[in-house]
Amino acid sequence: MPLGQFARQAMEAACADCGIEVSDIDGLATYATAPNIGARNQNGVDIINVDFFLSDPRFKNVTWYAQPGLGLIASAVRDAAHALISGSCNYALIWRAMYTPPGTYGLYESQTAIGDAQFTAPYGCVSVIQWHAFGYRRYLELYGSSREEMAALVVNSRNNANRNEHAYFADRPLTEEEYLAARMISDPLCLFDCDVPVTSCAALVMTTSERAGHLRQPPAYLAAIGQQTVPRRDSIHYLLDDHIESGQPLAADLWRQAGLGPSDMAAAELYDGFSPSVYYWLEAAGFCARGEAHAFATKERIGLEGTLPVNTFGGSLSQGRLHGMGHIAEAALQVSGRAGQRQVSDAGAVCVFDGSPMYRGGGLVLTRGS
Amino acid sequence: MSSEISHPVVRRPIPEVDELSREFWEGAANGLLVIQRCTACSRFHHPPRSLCTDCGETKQTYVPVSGEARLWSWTVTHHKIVAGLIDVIPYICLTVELVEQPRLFLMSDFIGDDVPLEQFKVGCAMRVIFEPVSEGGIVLPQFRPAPVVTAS
Repeated sequence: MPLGQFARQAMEAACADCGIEVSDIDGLATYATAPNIGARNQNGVDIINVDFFLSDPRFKNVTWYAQPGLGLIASAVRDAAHALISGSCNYALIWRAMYTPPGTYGLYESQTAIGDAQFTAPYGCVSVIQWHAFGYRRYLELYGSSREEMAALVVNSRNNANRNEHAYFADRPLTEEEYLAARMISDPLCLFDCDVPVTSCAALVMTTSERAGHLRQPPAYLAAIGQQTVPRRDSIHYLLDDHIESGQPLAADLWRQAGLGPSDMAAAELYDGFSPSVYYWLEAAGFCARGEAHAFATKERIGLEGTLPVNTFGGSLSQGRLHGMGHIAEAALQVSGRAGQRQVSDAGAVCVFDGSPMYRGGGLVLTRGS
Repeated sequence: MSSEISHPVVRRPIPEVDELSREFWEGAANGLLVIQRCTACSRFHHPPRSLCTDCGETKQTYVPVSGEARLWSWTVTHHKIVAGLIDVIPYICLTVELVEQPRLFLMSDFIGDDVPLEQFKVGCAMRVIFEPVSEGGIVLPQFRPAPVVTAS
């Protein structure tokens, strides 16, 4: 199915779910950037940008749109919140569409290396997965962690995905043994430490609190939203920047805005393009101390029945790579009590942290009440 | 089709030397590790930049560094990432932090070289060596555990 059809389905389902007509949508926002190097950037084929929906005659009432190029999907949510508050629109559609080409993709095929790549490509080291592997290897050594500990986190995500009909791995369990035996991609990162490349789209509708009260479903309220703004020194591999330094200011901003803290969260939806990012966010957001996430993230603690359920929908590792949109959708479902078999108890507030955290990303806190 | 035993093909992407990087590669070709440094605030920059990202000074110069470093981390790459290196998978990539300045990183690898895995510990001492890689005269700085242990 072409990406454009996924996008239309997601959009129509989001409108039907909250009980509005497609023509009621008057605001559009997305983060449209393709995830893979070498993307053709064909609208409707491998990206879905604002023009895709503006070209649909049902969107004749659109008065506002935004398509930020930095800050992942959280930036689009933030822009939409501002537009709704300022009265630029009444119902904003937010979506994130992802296309994955068949077969191997992203191979560095050039025989030359230009710009900053002249200091990485000759060494065969141009991929973010290798840079993440550097960070994770260092984490393992500095804090005395092991892949056995990571198995608990990855298997937990899979268990949650097994309760999520939209997950790529909805029907396929994963055992700790299977995780530990999986082929290496860039050691110490194995296949199951990487998110699932999928072709998919998720969409949601944002509106004002007043309007939300009259819609079909109970709303999720946006209590805080922020962007990662930490200055970054030039480096051959920016992902090696300190994860606490990168993530902590965003977390502090969210907790201040929401008037809530880590202990108030009923669940945490943490970006997991690669599994170690979950450790980094647990530490940067203050759920545990630096260097302790590997010991913190046990099944008893981060499982659906635990004190801090993490990636309750399976995360990008098991639902599929939507660069944070899956996390936001899940937070909304949890606080509105609509997460079905994976619903956590007393879901008054759920946070989302989106990004590596060293890459420009963002975060938000959703609450059950306004 | 040839019936001879095929040898692994190593086709590293070759740096395209530019205005900012010329002195780095010329230095390496002469067996010298030189890193760009700000003339105003003395901050080292790698990769080189047209202005200092710390103080904004535009005048940058290259200065020799000791070649001493600490191993920051390493990874064994199994996945097909660089087309010209598929034959030598799996290979080790590493990143080192030069002793001159925190977070001043250079990359290195063990492609086509023996791998002393047991010597690889985060923070261990590394030292630069120089490896010619192309007929065009490109020489890659590489880092090896230091001091070098020789068989007696």
